[in-house]
Amino acid sequence: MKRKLQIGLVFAASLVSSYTFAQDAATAEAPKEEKPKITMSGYIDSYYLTAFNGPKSGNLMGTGNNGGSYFAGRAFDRLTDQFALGLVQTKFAYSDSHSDLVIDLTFGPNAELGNFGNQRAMPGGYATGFFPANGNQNVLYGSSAAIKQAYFTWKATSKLSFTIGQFGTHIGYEVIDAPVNFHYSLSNLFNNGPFYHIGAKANYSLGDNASLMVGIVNNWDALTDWKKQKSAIAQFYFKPVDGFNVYINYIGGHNDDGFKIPGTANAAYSVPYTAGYNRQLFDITTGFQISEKFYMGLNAAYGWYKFNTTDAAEESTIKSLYQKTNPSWGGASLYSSMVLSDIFSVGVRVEHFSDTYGVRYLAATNNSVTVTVPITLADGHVILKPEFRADASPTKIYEDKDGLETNKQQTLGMAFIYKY
Amino acid sequence: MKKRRLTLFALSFVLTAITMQAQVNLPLNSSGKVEIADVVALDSTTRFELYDRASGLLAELAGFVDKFTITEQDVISGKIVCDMKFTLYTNQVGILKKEAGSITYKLTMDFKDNKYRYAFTDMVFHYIKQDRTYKMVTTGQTKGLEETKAGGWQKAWNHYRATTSSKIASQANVIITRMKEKKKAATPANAAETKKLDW
Repeated sequence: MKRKLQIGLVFAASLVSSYTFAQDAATAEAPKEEKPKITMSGYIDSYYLTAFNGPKSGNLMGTGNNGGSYFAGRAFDRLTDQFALGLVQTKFAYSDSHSDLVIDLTFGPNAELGNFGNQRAMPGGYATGFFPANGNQNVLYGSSAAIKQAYFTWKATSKLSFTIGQFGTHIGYEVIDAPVNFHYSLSNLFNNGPFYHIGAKANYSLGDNASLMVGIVNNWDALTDWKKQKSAIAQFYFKPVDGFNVYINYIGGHNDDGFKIPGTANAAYSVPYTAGYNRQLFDITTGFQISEKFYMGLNAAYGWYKFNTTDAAEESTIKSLYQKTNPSWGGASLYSSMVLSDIFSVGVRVEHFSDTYGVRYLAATNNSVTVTVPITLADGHVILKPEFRADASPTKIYEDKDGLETNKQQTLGMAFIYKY
Repeated sequence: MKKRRLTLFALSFVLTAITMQAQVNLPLNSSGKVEIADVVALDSTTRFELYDRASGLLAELAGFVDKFTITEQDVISGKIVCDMKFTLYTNQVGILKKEAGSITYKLTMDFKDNKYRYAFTDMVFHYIKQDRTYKMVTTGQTKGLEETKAGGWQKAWNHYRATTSSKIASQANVIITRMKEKKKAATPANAAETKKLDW
């Protein structure tokens, strides 16, 4: 996996080094003053799917791995043989020449799952992280689960801007928003990466074809912080040619996993953490519009923990959980899609994901193929997404019709999305 | 029976009215591409004078669009070529109104003694989508405005074609009016000919 990452980084570096920042040809553009504007948008989504492995429990979460602690075979669209609601979004945006404001409110099952760190506990009693010791926990967490994003950006100059608040992560290819993704089900790279951050970041434009973002955030997926150290985030974006976008992303921090808080005995584990750790994650996300109708994308990520064990007992504890003191995870996902007509398009996602040390949620290696045929109707307001997905893992993490473990899971379903 | 016939008549009238309103007839050239063009006569004017007048009204034309690029401006050959781009919005209203795509097109103006020609051509709709950072970006997919059908978004497509037609008509009106106004100021006796001229 490290070798794959090295190859990927060398490839990315070669693109950067060979890239020259082209100057625009002399143009006589009409200067336009940006008037303040407020927009409102949103969507609702629901789905119906069936699984050929017919899980007895009626959901696609699997039987759980890592001692039965984790259930993450399918993180979001997890219910079978029933109409299921996904998410309801209402998003307000204000924009003028000096600032942007985004208030992105979401409700429903997928909103709760995506914002699990803004709640006191997940269904099933899993604690989701740290809760400040005070008498107002319910007040603190009361409505926060509905905030998917809430931030403002101050455009200090035409090139430099600052953003502060809660914002969707810069890591990865996919997002929670069903209309934005090509596929309805979400990749394991998405499910096992960060969803959002609370913090501040600065973005500097390096011309029309490149930009650099750096920032500090509390941690991953959590409303409140349990430590003084903040995590660092960074993104370098560049566009080698028109239609080819490359994002190189990073996040790194100290003790920044809400399920691995030193000194606490998280419900997901039977032993308390004592050793601190550093966690790093590198991610590359690219998309290339090869022709007018054919698009390809690639997402690859590699991350690792480095536990700072101070004695044999700590080392033994960490190794009993993760086999080693520097466990890693990662994967790659290849996307391709083609526009067939104004109504139909077709896309395939092929993904390999590895969490063999169980530091993330899947706690297994998994390969999957997803084929989706989005159908766009009603002036783009209605999107139907028939989708077939096949998952296979060398570890028996899925569930069959008898409730027993199995290696495979195949689903066929339809998502119903209305956006405005 | 009479009532039923009356209802059917009223329904067909309404449907016809809606259809007529929805359809936008953009003129096609011999290649089947949309082209809005004309040759306008202005007597007793040299091609250099016409070129100067046209150069003077480019700023006003730029005010109609988001991006205005002069790609050729040659007094010797008597030619001005401009690329233009403007943003299209959904036909929703108020705060629901959002970016829906963009139109690019070209304006070519040629000048000869006593007459000039303008032609709006290469009208193309550019699809956009929301990227993972929630910004609207072009997908690379395009659709020529000569296409009248748009499966799944016909109403929006009719709206975009109508918007483009209206904007270009306004720009053509500016060209004709401003070129004529200056002509009047110079030699008020001359009026532009209304009949079609050959180039």
